[in-house]
Amino acid sequence: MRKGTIIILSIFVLLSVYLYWLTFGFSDVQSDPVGPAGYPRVCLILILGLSLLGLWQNRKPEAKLNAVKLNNWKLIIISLILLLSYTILMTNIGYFIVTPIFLILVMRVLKVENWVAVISVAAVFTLFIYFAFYKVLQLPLPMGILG
Amino acid sequence: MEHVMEGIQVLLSWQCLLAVVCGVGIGMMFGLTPGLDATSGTALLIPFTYGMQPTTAIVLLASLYAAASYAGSITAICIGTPGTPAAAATLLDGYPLMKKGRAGEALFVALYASVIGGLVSNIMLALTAGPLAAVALRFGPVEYFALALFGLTIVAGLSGRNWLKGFLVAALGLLIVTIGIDSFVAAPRFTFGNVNLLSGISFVPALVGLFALSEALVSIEELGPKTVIQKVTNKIPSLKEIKGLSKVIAVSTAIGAFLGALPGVGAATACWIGYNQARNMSKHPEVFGKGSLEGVAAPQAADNGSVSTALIPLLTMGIPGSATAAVLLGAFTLHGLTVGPELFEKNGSVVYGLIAALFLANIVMGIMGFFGIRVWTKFLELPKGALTALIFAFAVVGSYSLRNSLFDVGTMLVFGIMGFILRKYNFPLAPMVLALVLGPMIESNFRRAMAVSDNGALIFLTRPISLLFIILAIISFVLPFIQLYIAKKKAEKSGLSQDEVMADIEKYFSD
Repeated sequence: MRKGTIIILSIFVLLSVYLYWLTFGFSDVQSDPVGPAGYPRVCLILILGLSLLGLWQNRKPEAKLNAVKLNNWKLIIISLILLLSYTILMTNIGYFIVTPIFLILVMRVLKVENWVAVISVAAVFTLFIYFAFYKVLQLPLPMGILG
Repeated sequence: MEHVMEGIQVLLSWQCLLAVVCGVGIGMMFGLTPGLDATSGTALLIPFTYGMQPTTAIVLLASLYAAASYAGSITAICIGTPGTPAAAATLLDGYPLMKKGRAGEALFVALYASVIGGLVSNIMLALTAGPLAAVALRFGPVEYFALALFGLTIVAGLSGRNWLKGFLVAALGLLIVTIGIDSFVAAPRFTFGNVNLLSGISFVPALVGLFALSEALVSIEELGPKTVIQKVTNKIPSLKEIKGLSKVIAVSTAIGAFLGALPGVGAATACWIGYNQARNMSKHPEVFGKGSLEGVAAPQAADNGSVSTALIPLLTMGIPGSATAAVLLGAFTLHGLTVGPELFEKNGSVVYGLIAALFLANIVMGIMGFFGIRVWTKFLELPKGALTALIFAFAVVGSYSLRNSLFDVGTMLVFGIMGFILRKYNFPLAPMVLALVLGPMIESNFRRAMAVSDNGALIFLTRPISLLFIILAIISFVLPFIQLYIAKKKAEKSGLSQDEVMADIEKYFSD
C-alpha cells in the first residue's frame, strides 16, 4: 500500500508542477479578474499541497498487513488487451461481427467453462443490441465490412 | 398544480410506463450483482438513453436507482455478500435468517420495508421540492459558488481515514473539468493541441469508466467458484409479525429520508443509523445479528427512504445528494435539461413526471420483487466471468454511441484504469464524480461573482446565505479531523487500536 501510494502521490506532484507551468501559456483578458489560469492554478496548488502532505504522512514504514495484492493480474492484463483490440477492430471490421467474438474470448479467458452458456450469452447480447438499440433506438454503430 | 397534472400525463404514456418496468428490472439486476450498484448501473445505462425522450430517459434511470437500492438486500440475504454498499447492514440479520431456513421471510420483510421507505421518501420529495426550488430561485452566483463548495467538501470530508485521498481526488476532478475551451474567454486549457479535447472531457464515458469498467476489473480479481443458492422458501411472515415492524420501519424511513436529503451523507450512513436505532428501540436487542426481522426491516426502510430525498438537493439546487444523484445529473445534462430551480418552471412536467414515476417504480418493484424472487435469485448464479464480459461490452458500445467517437471509448478506458488503480489504493471515487459535476458550477459562479465584486473574494462573506454555506463547508472540512480525534480518544478508553475504531466509524460512510 505504502509503496503504491507513494508512487501515485509522486505522479500527482510531478503532474501538478508541469501543469502549473503550462498555465502561464493561457491567454489573459483584462475584463476577467480571475482569468482562464486562476481556477486551474487553485486546483493544482491543492493537488500539490495534498500530495506533499500525503508523502509526508507515508514517510514511516507501515505494517505488512496493509500490502495491496493484485490477484489474477494476468487475467486483468489479457482482458484489457482484448478490450483495446475490440475497440479498434469494432470500427474496421464491424460491431456485430467483432462483438460476439470478443464476448466469447473474454468469457473463456475469465474461466466460464460451459460452452453453451458462453455462446448463448454472446448471441443473446449481440441480438439484443441489434434489435433494441440499433433498430429501435437507432443507436449509430459501426457496420464495418457489413456496411 | 398544472405541472403535476402534466407530469402524471407524461407518465401515463406507454413509453414512460415501459421505462419504469425496464428500469426496475435492470435496477434489480445491478443491485443483485455484488460490486455493481445503482451508481454503476446508471452510469452504464445513460448512453443508451440518448435517443429517448428526456422524460422517458430520466424515468428509466430513476426507476433503476430505486430498484437497485432494494435489490442489494437479496444478495445480502441469499449469499451473505452485500449487493450494494448500503446493504451491508441488512446482511447482519438477513444472512443468519437464510441459514435458519427463513430466507422467504427475510426477503419479504426487506421488500416490504423498501417499498414503504421508497413511497414515504417520494412523498417527502413531492412535498418539499417545489417550495425549496422557490427559495433557490433567489440564489445568485455568490450563493451558488458557496453551495457547490459545500456540496463538494462534505463528500470529500466524509472519507474517514482517507480524508486526504478524498480531497485529493476531488481536486483532481475539479482540474479535469477545466480541460477544453474556457467558456469565458474562449482560450484552450490543457488540450495539448488535440482537437478532441477542445470540447472537454466527455462526462458520460468518464463516469462509465470510473464506475463500471473499474468495477469489472475489480471483479476479475475476485473470480471464484460459481455461487450456489439454497432453495428460497415461499413462507412469508405472519400479519402480526408484519404489524410489529411498523414502528421500526417508520423510524428508519424518517432517518433515511432526512439523511438522504443532506448532500453527501448517502444511503449507507442512513442504513447503519437506522439499524442501530432499531436495535436500541427493540424489545429483543439480543436477537440482532442472529436473525432479527427488525434488523432486516430497519436498514432497508432507511436505504430506500433515502432514494427520493437524495434527489431534493439535485432537483432544487443542482447539488447531487449522492454519487448516484451526481450520475443522474449527467443524464439531465445529456438531454439538455439544466437542474436547479429553473427546471421546475421550464420543465415542470419532467420533474413531476419523475416524481410520479418513482411512486410507480416502488409499486412495480414490490410486484416484481414478490412474484419474481426465484428468478432474481437464479440471476445470482450467473458466472462472474460472463457478467464482467457483458459490462465490458456495454461500456464500449455505450461510450462509442454517444458521439460515434473512438476518443470517447479511449476516455472511458483511461478513466476505467485510473478508477481501478485509485480503488486499489483506497482513493474514494465519489468525491471525483461530484467534482466532475460541480466543477463547472464552482468555476463559472466564482468568476461571475468576482467580476461583479468590488471587494474581491470578500463578497462571499458579506452575503448571509453564502456565508452560511462557507461556514458549513469549513465544518465539513474539519469533520475528518474530529473523527480522527474521536477515534483516538475511543481507542485510549477501550483498549482497541485507533485503526479498529476508525474502521467502525467508517462503515457509516462506505458509499
